[in-house]
Amino acid sequence: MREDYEALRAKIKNQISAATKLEQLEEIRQNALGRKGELTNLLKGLGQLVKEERKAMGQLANEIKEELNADLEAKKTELLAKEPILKFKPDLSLPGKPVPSGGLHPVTQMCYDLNDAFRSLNFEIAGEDEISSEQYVFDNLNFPANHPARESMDTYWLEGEASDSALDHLCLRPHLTGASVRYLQEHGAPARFVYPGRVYRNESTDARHERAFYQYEALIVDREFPFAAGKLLIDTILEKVFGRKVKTRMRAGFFPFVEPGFEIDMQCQVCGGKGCRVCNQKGWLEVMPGGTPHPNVLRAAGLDPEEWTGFYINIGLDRMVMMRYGINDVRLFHSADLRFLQQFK
Amino acid sequence: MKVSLNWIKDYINLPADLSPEQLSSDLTMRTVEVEGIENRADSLKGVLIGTISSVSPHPDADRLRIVQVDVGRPEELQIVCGGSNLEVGQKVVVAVPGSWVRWHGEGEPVEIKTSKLRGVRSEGMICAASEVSLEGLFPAADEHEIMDLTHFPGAENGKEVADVLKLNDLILEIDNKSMTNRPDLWGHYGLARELAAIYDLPLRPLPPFVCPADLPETPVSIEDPEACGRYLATAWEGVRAVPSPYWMQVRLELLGHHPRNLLVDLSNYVMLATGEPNHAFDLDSLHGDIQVRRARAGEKLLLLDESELDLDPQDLLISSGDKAVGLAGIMGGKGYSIRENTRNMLMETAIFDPRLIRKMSQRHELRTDAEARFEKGIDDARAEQAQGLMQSLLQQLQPEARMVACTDCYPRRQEPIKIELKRSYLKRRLGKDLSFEEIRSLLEKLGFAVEEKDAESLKVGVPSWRATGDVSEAADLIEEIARMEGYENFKVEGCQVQLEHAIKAPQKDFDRRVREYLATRCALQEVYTYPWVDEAALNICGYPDNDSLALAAPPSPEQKYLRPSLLPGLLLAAKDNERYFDSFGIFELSQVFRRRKERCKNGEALPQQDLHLGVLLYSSEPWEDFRRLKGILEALPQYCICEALHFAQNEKDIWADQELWLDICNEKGEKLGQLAALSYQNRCRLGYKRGYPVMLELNISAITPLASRQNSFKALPQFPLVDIDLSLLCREDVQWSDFVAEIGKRVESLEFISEYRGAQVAEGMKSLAFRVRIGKENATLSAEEIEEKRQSLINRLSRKLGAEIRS
Repeated sequence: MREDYEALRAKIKNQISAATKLEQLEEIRQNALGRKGELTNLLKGLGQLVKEERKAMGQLANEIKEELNADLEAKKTELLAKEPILKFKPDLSLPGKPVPSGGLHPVTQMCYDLNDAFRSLNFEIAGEDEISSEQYVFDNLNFPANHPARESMDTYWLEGEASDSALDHLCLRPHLTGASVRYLQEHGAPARFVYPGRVYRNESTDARHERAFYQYEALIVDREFPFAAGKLLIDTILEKVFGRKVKTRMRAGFFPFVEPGFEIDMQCQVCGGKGCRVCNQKGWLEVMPGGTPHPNVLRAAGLDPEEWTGFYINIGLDRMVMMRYGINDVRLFHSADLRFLQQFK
Repeated sequence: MKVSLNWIKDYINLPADLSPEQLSSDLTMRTVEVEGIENRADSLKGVLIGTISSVSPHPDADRLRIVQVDVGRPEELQIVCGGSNLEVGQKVVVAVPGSWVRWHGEGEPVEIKTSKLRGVRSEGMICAASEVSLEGLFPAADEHEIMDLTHFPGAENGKEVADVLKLNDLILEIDNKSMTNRPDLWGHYGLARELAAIYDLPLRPLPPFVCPADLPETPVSIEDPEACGRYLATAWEGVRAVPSPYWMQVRLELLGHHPRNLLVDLSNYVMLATGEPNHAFDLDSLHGDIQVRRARAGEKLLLLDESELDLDPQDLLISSGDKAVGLAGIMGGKGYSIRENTRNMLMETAIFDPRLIRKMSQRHELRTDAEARFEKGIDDARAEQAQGLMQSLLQQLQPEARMVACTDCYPRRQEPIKIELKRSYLKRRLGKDLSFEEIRSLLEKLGFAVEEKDAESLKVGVPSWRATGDVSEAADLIEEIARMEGYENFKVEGCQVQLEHAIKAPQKDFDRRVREYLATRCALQEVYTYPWVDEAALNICGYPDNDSLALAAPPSPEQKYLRPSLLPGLLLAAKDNERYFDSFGIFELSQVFRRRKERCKNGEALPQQDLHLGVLLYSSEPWEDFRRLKGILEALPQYCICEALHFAQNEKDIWADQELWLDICNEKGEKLGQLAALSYQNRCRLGYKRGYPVMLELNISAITPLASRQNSFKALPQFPLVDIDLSLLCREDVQWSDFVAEIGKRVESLEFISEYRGAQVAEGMKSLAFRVRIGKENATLSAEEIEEKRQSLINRLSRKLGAEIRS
C-alpha cells in the first residue's frame, strides 16, 4: 500500500517537473488530485485498512497531497515567469508603425518659436494685412518722396485708378514696418509687440532671393530704452531659438526706419567664429538689422520723439530657418513640395 | 566699392601696428561693412622676372619653342613656350612650379607644375599678360604675345613680378549697400577722413582749387537750379592724351578701371579720390557755351557707349550750342568726349539733384559709377575739391597744360544744417552720461562744429559732406556719438517690464490653434503658395470677376491676379505633388483679397483681406476624403475653441462636383465656405492623372474664437450602458439624417459604423451598420429590457423608413 503511495508520489512529481505549459499542470492536478484522480482513488481504499494503518496512510496521503500542491504551485510560478505574450518569435528589428504624417511649415514653426520667446518677455503678437497703402509703407516711415529706397524696395503695386493720394496707392507690402505705425496709432505707447508676416519684393529670384518671404519684427516703445538693453533682448531671443548662448555683436548699419541703426551679427554657428564657407570666412553672420525707431516713424504714430524712444529689430525668418536646417535654396519655401516640407514634421 | 589702402595712406598715416584685419573689423563695427581684403601680389606669388638665355625649336611642334630662362637661381629653367615674340635677352614673366596662373587668361587659376610638353620637359610657364591678369596694364597685340618687361625699371632676375610692378596693395571690398546713406564715403578721401576720426589721426588736406582772377569765363547757363545747383567748369589748353604715369595706372587697374590715357585716367582718378563724378569734354568739339537744360520732345543723344537714347522731357542734359553733348550726371555723349587727339579740354564738376539722376538712370536703365555717386547726394564743396585735385595733378603731370577759362555757375547753395543737442536727451538715449568735452571730441573728429549753447545743450554744425540728407536731426547725432564711442563699449543691461494687463490676441491664438490642429491632430501638411495665381486655375474657381485685384507689374502676365480664394493655389500645388505621392493632405492659412467700396476709418482705400483656410485632400477615394474633411470640420470647433460649424446644401460653388458638396455655415446659417470634391470636368481640365482632389475653404476671419472652452462636464453613468450593433437594409434615398431624426433622441448615443453596397444587397438598396447605446438612469438593464428596446428601434425604423434587418 505504502509502495503504491510512494510510486504515485514519484510519478506525479516527475510529471510536474517535466511540465512545460501551464495547461499541463492543470491536467496533472486533475489526474492526481481531482475527484477522479489517482490519489483520490487510492484514498478510497483506506476504508478497508485497520484503524492504525488507516491513520498512518491518511497522514501519508495528506502529506503527498500537500507536497504535490506545493510542487504544482512552484512549477506554476516558474512557468508563469516564462510565459510569453506572443505565440511566435517576434522580429524586433521591424520598424515601428509610422505616426500619421502632417506638420507645420518650417517657417511657421520658427515663427511660433519666436512668438513663444517674445511672449515670455511680455510682447504682444500683432499683425497687419498684406495689402497696404503707400502712406503706411513709405510716407509714414521716413522715406521722403522720390527717395531711392522707395524704389530699391521694388514694390509690387496694384492696378488702380490714378490718384494723388498715397492712401489710394496700394501695394503688397514690401516690409512689415508699416504695421508698427498702425499698431501704435491704435494702442499708443508704451508698447512692446511683434508683428511677423509675409512681405513681397518685385525682383528676380534665385537660391537666395525670393519675391515672397517672411519677416519678423519686434518693437518696444517706451520713455527710456537705451539701445544697450536691446542687445540683451536679442541675446535672450537667440538663446531661446537656438537652445544655447549665441555670441552677437552690434555694429553701425543704416536703415531708413531707425536712427541710430545697427546691423546685428551672430557668431557663425557652423564654424564657431573661425571662418568658413557659410559665413564667407567672416566668422559672423548678419541676422537682423535693428535700432531706435526713427523720430519720423514715432511722429507718424502720433508720438513725440522727445518723449518716446524704443528699440526695433527685424529678423529675416526665412534666413533663420535656412540657417537652422542648412537649407540652400529659399525658393523651396513656397514650392509646396511635400518631399521638402515633410522633412520638418 | 574697392578701396586701395596705399591710396588711403596718401591722406593719413595709419598706425604702424594696425593690421589690415583690425582695420577691417574697426571699419565694419564703426562705419561700413568690409566684405574682404585682397592683395593682387598674393595671387602672383612665385611669378618671377626671368631673362631668356636661349630659344631653340621644339622637335615635335612647329609653334612651340624650348626656352632657357635665368630666374636668378643656380640652374636655369627649361620652359616650353608658344610665345610669338620670344627673344634672347628678353625679360619675361615666369610662373615657376607652385605658382598659379589663368590658363590662356580664362577660367579659374590653375597651379603650375613641372610637366612634359610634346615629350619635352617644361619647368614653368612664360606668361602672357592675360595669364597673370595684367592685360589692363600691359595690353598685348595678340593672344600669343608674352609680356615683355625688358625695359621695365627694376626688373631683375628672380624678383617677384608683383614687387617689381608695384602691385603690393591691400584692396578692401566694401559692401555698397552698407554705404547707401553715406555719399561722403564713395571716394578714398572720404574714407580716409572716417579712418582719421576712428584712429584720431591728422588728415592731410587736398590741394585747393585756385582760379586765377583774370581768366575769362566759359559761358554756362543753368535752366533749373533745382535740377543743377552748381556747375563748375574749367577749360584747359595744351593737354595731350598720352599714357598716364605707371603709378596712376596701377591704382586705377587695381580698383578695376583699365587705364586709357592721361585725360580719361585723371577724370577717373579724381572721382575715385574725391567721390565727385566729373566729365572731361573735348573742348574743340563743343560749340562754345554750355547749357544745363531739360531735353526736348523727340531729342536724341548718342552716348559714349554707342547706345542711342530717345530722350524724355524730364531728362537733364548738358548741351552746347543747343546740341545735347551729355546726359547729366550719368554719361557723356559720343563725339564730345576726350579722344586721342584732344588738345583742349573742358572739365566739368557739377552738383545735380540726386532724385533726378536716379529717375533718369532708371528710365534709361543706365548704371554708371557717376550715377551711383550722384544719386546718393553730393555736397557743393566737392565740385571745387575735384577741380583742385585735377588742377594739381595736371600741373604735376602735364606742366605745359594751362587753364584758360573758369566758370563757377552756382545758382543754388546747399542749406547749412545746425542741430540743437540736449545733454539730457543724449543721456536718456545712450544710457550713458558723456561730458560736453567727450561729446565735442567725438563729434569734432568727424568734422562737426560743436558749440556750447547753454549748460544743458549744444549747437552742432553738420559738415557739408554729411548734410546732404544723411544727418539732419538730433537722433542722427546720437548715432554718430554711439558708433564712435563703439557699440561694444556700452554696458548691457536689462529692461523693465511693467505688468499692466494680460496679453490677449484671440484672433492670432485662434489662427495658431487651427494650424496646429490641422498639422498634428489631422496629419495635414501646411504649405505656402504665392498670392498671385495662374489665371487658368483661377478660372476653374470662377475668377477673376469685378471684385478681383490685380498687380500692375506681375511676376508673369498670366499671374496678374491676386488670389480671391486659396483653392486655385492648392489645386496647382497638389498637381505638382501628384507625381510623387498616391495620397496626401495639405492646407494653407492665408489672406485673400477682394475689392471693397468703403474706405477704412483712417481714409485708406484698402481691400477686403480676410484670412481663409484652404484644405485639399488627394487620393483615389474622394468619398472617403470628403468624409474625412467633414470630420475635420466637425471636430474643429471643439479643438480650436470657436463657435460651432454647421452644414447645409444651399449654393454650390462653381468648381464643385454636382453631388459631393456642402456649404459650411455658422449658427445663423450664414455661409462661411464650402466643402466639396473638385468636379470631374475640372479635374480633367487641370490634368490630374490618378487621384481626386477634395477641398474645403473656410473664412477664418468670419469665425468668432471663444475666450475659453465652453463644454460642461457630464456626470458618468451610475449603471452600465449597453451597446447594440445593428445592420439594416434600406433604400438609397434614405439618409443617415433620417435615422438620427427617428431614433437619435430615443437612445443615449447613435454612432454610424459603415455603409455597404454590392453583393447580396439589391440594386437601389444599401446596408447601414450603426451602434446604439442604451441604458437606464436608476438600474441596470435586464436582458429582456435590452431585447425589447432593440426590437422597438428596429420596428420604428422599419415602419418609418422601410429599413429591414439584414438576413
